Amino acid sequence: MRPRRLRLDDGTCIGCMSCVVVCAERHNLRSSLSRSRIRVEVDTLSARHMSRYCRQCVHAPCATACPVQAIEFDEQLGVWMVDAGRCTGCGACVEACPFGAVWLDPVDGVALKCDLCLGRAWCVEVCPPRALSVVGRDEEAEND
Amino acid sequence: MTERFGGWAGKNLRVDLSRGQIWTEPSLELGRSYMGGRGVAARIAWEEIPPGTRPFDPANRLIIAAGPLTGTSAPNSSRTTICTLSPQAYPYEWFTYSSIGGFWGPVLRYAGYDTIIIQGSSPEPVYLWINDERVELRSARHLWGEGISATQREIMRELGQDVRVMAIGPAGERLCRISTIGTGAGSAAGQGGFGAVMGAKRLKAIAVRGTGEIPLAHAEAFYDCTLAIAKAAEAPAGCPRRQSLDPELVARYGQRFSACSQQCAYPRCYICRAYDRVPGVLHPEKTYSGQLVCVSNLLGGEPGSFYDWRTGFRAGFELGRISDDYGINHWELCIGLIPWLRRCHQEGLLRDLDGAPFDLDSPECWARLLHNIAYRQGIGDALAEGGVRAARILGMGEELIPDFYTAWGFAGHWDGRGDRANLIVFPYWLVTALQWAVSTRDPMSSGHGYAQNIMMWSPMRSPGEGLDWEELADVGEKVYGTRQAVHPLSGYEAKAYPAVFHGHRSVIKDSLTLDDQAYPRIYSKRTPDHLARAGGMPGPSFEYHMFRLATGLDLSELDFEQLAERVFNLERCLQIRNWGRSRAVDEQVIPCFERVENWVNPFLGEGKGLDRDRFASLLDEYYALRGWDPATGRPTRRKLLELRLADVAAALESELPS
Repeated sequence: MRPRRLRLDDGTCIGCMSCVVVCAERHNLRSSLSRSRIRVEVDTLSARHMSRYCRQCVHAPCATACPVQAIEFDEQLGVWMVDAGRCTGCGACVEACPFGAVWLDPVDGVALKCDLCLGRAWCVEVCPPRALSVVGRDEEAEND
Repeated sequence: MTERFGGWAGKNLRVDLSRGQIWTEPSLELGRSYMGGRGVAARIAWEEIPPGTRPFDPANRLIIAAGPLTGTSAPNSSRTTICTLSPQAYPYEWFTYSSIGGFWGPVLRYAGYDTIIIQGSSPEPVYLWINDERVELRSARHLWGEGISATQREIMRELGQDVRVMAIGPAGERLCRISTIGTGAGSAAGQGGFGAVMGAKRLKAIAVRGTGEIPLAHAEAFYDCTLAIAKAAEAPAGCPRRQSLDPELVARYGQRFSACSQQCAYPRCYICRAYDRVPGVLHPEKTYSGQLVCVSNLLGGEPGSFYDWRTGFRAGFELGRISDDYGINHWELCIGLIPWLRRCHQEGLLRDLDGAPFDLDSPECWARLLHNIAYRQGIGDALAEGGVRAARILGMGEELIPDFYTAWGFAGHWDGRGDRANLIVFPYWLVTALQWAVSTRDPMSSGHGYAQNIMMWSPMRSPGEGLDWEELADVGEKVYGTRQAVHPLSGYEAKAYPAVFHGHRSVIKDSLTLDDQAYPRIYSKRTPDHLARAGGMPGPSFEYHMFRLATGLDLSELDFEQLAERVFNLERCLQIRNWGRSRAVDEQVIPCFERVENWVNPFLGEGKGLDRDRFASLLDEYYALRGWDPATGRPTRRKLLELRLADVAAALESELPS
């Protein structure tokens, strides 16, 4: 599988946070914001919002920073995956990510990042204004 | 097989402001019996608000209630219903409800609570700080006097940017009967005057951080169900006039579609727009950002309409932010109070505003009005009581009031009279009249499902885009059992059942909680028979399936309907016990609807008014469908027993028909 990643068009996003809740439900079978792998931070006073999600970098700083090599590129899925068994929850990847798109799971303490739902990105499916899509990583500049 | 439970967060939060005490109670049993939101609030009010209690009494309960779907992936699910005795309601200060959007309700649920019940009155201004399981009252002396926006900003500075805050402004502090509770950049619980209830309790704000999770009984089936419903969202269902962006406003102020609440699932929102850094007219040194929703657009005026003033977009936006900050109800301002004042001025009844000119084209005039209402100065002291009471207090323009207010609601709000924003013709407003007759407030907050849906999909409002009249009637047969429920030539026939049906939908939406514009889903252009569907579910059943899958309650769709009916009857019983509600009270709406309608049904050729005798028969039919006594308009004991409200029936024994 060629490398793929999420792409969110900020101009189209309406800040509804559907993607955030759906991500948590699909991964954890419960509704929350705190265990989601995509975040939309709404400034409630201005209605402006900012999104944070994994770019599946070619040279992934999270993987480089990990002292136990718990973040590995899955060739079949084309995404960086966290090996929850190996992860010690040290937070080095959280610090290293330039997009602020890795978190520590408040329940089990391991690193939390986008896995594209192992193939079918449910946040893309649900996004009401269709601001989210999955793109081939090599089609896009890494920083957009 | 063991039942799995989910949906409810599990705890209700209790706060006694007089004693400074905070405790929690389990929420599951109340939720299973009354759903959540408005339903749970009705039960608490029945048990805890005795007859004779008034809105500003410490004994009044302020109930802030989310529901079992709030904060889940259920589309348009993130509202919160606030229930308490209403300072705004007239002529009875009865118990009613108001819904607030934004991002507050879901976070309350992630913190682990379904409902907050607040009693008593604090000796000093305080705010409530809910930090997951840690809850405390904190001094709000430094916040008292601040606007809703500044209060949120200051609390977020103290506690963190992820904290969500609802607050009152100067209008609520001064017990204005038209004051709101606000959150975010333009969301408010508008109707009811509930800001003043918080003001009387000296509760400035409620701040919440919620980092936990909401359990789901059948999570996989639930998220498949909610995804199907989200993907089936379909226009026309909102306000088509405002469906597009204005290229000039996009270029100048970044106008954009914006979710008014978490989980808004419309492909693009038909009602909400956000703006960035709009320069002030009154305060050119300031810029304003935030949202305009529905009537909040009207402060800029719509020349030639009911809102015939010309403050323009920039000043209108600024005035919207200023009045939001004071916490003044935009509906009351734009649909009732100001148009009424304008007429009083035109008729020579109002010369000036305490010596200053009355000129609605002037932003300064508006700013003075808003300030004087919020701070109860000059004529503003009377206006702060709302238009209906102000007319009596000032002895001015009482005869004009029916042009602007329909009983306990606003003329023009899908009743076919008053302002001309909502196109509706006979016979559709007959259902509105029934909904209005048995309500405690403007019933359209969660009651748009019949009239607005039909008119928006009809050839009158959406020619070429919606459905034709026969197609609408065909769908009507599937939903209401007969084509006559929706047919344009059906007159008074088959109008009682839709009023019952949508009365229950209103309870369901305010209890689960779901947004009124999004449910029930009835009409569609995408299905061969034009009945909305998703994932094998008919549109009107969406609420039931989401509730069932989230909570794990093993109940049929009829059981679900009966839960709503139980809440509706409990509310009625509370009105009977505390305010003597009866058929005579319901009939107070009749004179409003006797006035001839604004538009003409094209098949009839002339405008209609309500026929008193035929409406009396329609009310008989409505009460009979409800199992209520037609003479008194009160539930029979048998109906209450059937709804497992035996204790309520026993308490009301002497008030009920034999």
